[in-house]
Amino acid sequence: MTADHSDLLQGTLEMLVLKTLSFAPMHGWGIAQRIQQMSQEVFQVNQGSLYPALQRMKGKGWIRSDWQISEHNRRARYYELTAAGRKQLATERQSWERSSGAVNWILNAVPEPEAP
Amino acid sequence: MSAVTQVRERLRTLVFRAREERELAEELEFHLEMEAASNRGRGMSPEEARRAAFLSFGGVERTKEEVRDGWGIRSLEELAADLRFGWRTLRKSPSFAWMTVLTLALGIGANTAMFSVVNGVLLRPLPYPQPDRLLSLFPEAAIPHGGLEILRERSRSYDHLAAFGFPAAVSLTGSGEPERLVGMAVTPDLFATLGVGAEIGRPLQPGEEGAGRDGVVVLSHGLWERRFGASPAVVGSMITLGGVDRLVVGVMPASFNFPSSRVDLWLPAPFAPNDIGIHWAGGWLHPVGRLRAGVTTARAAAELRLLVPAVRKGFPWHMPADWGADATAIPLRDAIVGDVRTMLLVLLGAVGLVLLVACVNVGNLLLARAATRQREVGVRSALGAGRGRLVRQLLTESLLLSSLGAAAGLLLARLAMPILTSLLPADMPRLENLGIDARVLGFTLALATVTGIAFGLAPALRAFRLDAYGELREGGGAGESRRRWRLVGGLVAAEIALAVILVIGALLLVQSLWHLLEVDPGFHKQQILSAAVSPSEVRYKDHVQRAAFYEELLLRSRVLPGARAVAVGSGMPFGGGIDPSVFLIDGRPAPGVAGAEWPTAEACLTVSPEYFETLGIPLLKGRLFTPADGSAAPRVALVSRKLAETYWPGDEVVGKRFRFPGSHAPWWTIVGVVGDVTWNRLSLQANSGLYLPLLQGPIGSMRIIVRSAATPDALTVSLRRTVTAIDRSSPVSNVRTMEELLAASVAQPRSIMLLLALFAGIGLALGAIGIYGVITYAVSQRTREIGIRMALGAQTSSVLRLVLKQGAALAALGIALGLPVAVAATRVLRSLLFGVSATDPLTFAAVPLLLAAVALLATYLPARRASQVDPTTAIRTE
Repeated sequence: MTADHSDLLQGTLEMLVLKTLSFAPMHGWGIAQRIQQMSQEVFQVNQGSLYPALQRMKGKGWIRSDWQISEHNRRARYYELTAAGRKQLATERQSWERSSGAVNWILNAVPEPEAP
Repeated sequence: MSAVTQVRERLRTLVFRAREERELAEELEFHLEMEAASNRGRGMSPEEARRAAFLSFGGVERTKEEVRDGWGIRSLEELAADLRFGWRTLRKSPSFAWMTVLTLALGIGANTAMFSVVNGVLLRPLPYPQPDRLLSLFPEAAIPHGGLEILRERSRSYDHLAAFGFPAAVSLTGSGEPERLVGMAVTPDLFATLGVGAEIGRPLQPGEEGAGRDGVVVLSHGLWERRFGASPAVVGSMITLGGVDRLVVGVMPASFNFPSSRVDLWLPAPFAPNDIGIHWAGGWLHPVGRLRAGVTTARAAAELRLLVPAVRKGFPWHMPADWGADATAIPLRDAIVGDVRTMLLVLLGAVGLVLLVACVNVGNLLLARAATRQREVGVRSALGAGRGRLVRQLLTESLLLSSLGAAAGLLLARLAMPILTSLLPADMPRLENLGIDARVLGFTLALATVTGIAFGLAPALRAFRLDAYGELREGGGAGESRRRWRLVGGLVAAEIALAVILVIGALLLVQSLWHLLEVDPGFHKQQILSAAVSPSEVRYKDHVQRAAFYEELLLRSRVLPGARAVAVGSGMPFGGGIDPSVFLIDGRPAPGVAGAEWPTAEACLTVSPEYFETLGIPLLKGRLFTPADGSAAPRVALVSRKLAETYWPGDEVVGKRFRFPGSHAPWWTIVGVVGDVTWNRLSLQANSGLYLPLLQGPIGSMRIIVRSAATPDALTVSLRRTVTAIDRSSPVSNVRTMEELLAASVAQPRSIMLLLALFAGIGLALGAIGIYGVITYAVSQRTREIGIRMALGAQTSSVLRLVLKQGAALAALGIALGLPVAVAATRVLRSLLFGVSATDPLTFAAVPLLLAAVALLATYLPARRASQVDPTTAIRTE
C-alpha cells in the first residue's frame, strides 16, 4: 500500500464490489482488477481485504457464490448479485450521491464576504 | 437479510468448515496465480511475478483469518473454549463444584418435581381430541335429567351435550367374591362427546337409554384386568350388578379415567321422561358439552345463564328463584381439577422461593470464589481480554454450573417423584398423569438458564469494574472488599428474608392442621372400625328382608373379637351416606310458595339403637331407640341439638311430630335429643342430624360400625367371615378405622402442610449454610485485623462479639425485609387456613426469633474460630 493512494473505506469497497458485479458475475481477482480500472488507479484495493468483504456481503445476502470454470479453463469461485444486493446498490448509490453532492457543494461554495 | 438466513449460513459454514477451508485456500491460490500470470504478461520473470502478486495481496494468512471471522463460528469456538476452561476450573476446586451443583440440584430438583405435578394436574390437556372444546356446565352443582333435556333442546353452543352423574357403589355378584365397585352413571352419548372409543368392543352408544335398552355396561381397563383376567371374552357376556344382569359391551383403554381413576365401570343413567321422580329428582347429572366450531367458552356460559330460567321453570314443582344463579360453563379440565389449584400454586410458589435461596447461596459461593480468582481475571484482562469477553466467560461458567445442577436436579426429581406423590392427597384428581414430559424438561431447562444468569450475574458484573493493574498489584484494595461485603451481605439478608417467608407459611399451616385435628367432632375417634355391608339385591329384595339381614348381622357381630359395641347406620361421620332431607312440622303450614325454605336436616340417617353408644354420641334429652321401636310400633325419631334449636327454639322438642313430603306420609314423633356431629369436614361447623330407627326408616346399603380394642386386621377378617356366614353374595367393602377416615378428610391440608414444611426446612437449611459460609469468609478476610486487635489486647469475648454483631446485623436486615413480604405472601394461604389468621401475631413474632437464633448459631461457629486465632500467626498471614 503506498501513501499517496487513499485507503479504501470499507463501505465504499462494498459499494464498488456491488457495482462491479452489477455488470456480470465475476471471480475475486476479476473484481479486484475491475475496481482498480474503474477507480482509474486512484484507489488501490489491498487485494487481500477484498475477500473478507466478499464474505461479509455474502453473510448479508447481497451476493452469492458458486464454482465455475473461468475463461482460462480453471475452477474459480464466481460471485453474483442477489435481488437484495441490487436493492442495496441502489440505496447506496442514492446515499452516496446525496453525501458526495453535499461535499461538492461545500467545497464549491463561494466564501461569503467577511464582516467588516 | 433475515436472521434465519444468517443463522443457516453460519450453521452451514460450521458443518462444512473443512470444505470451506479448502475452497478458501483454492480461491486465494487462484487469485495469486491470476495476478502472477498478469505480471508475467507485463514481462516479469515467473519468480518476480509471483513475489509481486504476494506483495500486492497483503498477508494471505491474515486475509484467511479475516474471512474466517466472517464465517461467524468464532463465537461458537469461543464458547467451546470457555466451556472447556470452566470445566477445568471446576475440576480444580471439586468441593466448590460439589457444593454448588448439589445446592442447585436441590433447588431445581424440587421445582422440577413440583412443576411436574402442576403440569400433570393443571396444565396437561385432557386425553381427548380437541380437549379445549370440552366444557363443564354447572360445575359446582348438577341438574336432573329433565333439565339436561331442556338444555339440549334450547342450547345452540354445542355439537354434543352429554352428562355424567355421581360415583355410586354397586355390587358385582355372580362368579367369584362379591365386590363393591364404583359405578358412574352417564348419558350414553358421553363417549361420543368426549371423542373416545373402546379398547375392546364399543363404548355406550346414543340411544342406549331408557327401559329395555339400558341393560349394558362398559368396564374400565383396571377392572377388566383385575377381575376378569384381561380376557376379551368378557365382552358380550352378562354380569350381575346390583342384582341386575347387564351385557358387557366394551372395555375402555387404560388411559380413560373419566372423571377419575376411581371409576370401575360406566352405566347408562336412568332415563324415564314420564316418571317425574326419576326425570326431575333422581340421578342428578353434570353436563359436559363439546363446543360447536366458532363458539367461545364465554359465549357458551352467557347462553347458559340465559337458559337457566327455562330449566328452573321446567321443574314440575317450584324451585327457589335463585336456583342456578351461579350457573356457568368452564373448561372441563378445570372442573375436574377443582379446588386443588390454590394448593398446587402455593406449593409451586414456595418451592420457587427455595430455588431463590439456592441461587443466592450459589451466588455467594461464586462471589467468594471470584475473590480468589481476581488475579487470574486480572492477568487475562492485562493480556488483552475485553470486558465483554470476560463477562461472557464468567457467565458460561455459571451456566455450566447451573446446567450440571439441572441435570442432577432432574435425576433428583425423578427419584423424589414417588415420595412427592405419596405426600399428595390420594384423592387428588389426575394424579395418574404425573411424569416428566417435554414441558417439564423445558421448564427445567428454563430454570437452569435463568438461575445460571441470575447467580452468575453478580460476579460477572464485577468483572466490568475490574482494574487490571490494581488487581495484579494487590488483589483488591480496602474499598473493593467493602463493596463486595455489602453485596454478599445483601444477598445473605435476602436469603434470611426468604426463609422468614417460608417458615412463617409452614408454621401457619402446621397450626391450622393442629387446630383441625383438635376439633371435637362430637363422636369417638378411637377404636372404631366400620365397613360397608351390602345385602345382595337378589336375596334381600324388600325392607323387611333387608332389616332382618342387618339384625342378624348385628346379632352375630356382638361376638367379634373385643367388640364393646356394634351398630349399623345408613351413614356415618366421614364414612359417607350423609344425605340431607326436608320435612314438614306438625301444626305448621307446608311451605308451598317459591322461595320459602323447607325445614331441612343436614343428615338424615337410619340407625340401629346402639349407634349412639358405639360412636359415643351423647343423649341430651328423652330416650334413645330400643328394640321395641319395631316396624309395627309407633314411628319415632331422634334429632340433634342443632336441629331442635333451629326448628323448635325454646320449646320442648320431645313429643313433637313431623313428617316427610308425600300425600300419605306417616307422622314421626321425636323421642329424644342427641349431640351434634361433624359429618364430613372438620373445618365446618357441626351439622344438624335426624335419626330414624332401623326397623322403621328406609334401608339401602348400610355401614356396620364396631367399637373394639382388637386390631383392625383381625376385626376385618372376622367381620368378613361373619357376613359370608349369613350370605355369600353380600359384599363387604370400604373397611376403615375412624382414624383412617379422619386422616383422609384432612389429607389435603396435611399434604400441603408437610410439603410446605419440607420446603421451609430446605430453605432454612440453605439459609443457615449461606450465613455460615459468608461469615466464615468474612472472618478469613479479617484474620489479620483480628490478630492485630488481639495483639493489642482485645479479649476473646470482644472478638466473639465483633463477629456475632456482623451476623446479627445481617439477620436483622433479613428479618426486617422478610416480615412485610410475608404479610403479603401469606394472604394467598388464607383459604387454606383453619383456626389461625393469615397474620397470626404469635407466628409473626416467633419466626423472627427462630431465624435470629439460627443465624446466630451459624455465626457462632466461625466467630469462635476467629476468637481463637493466634495473633502471631494471624499477623503473618498474607
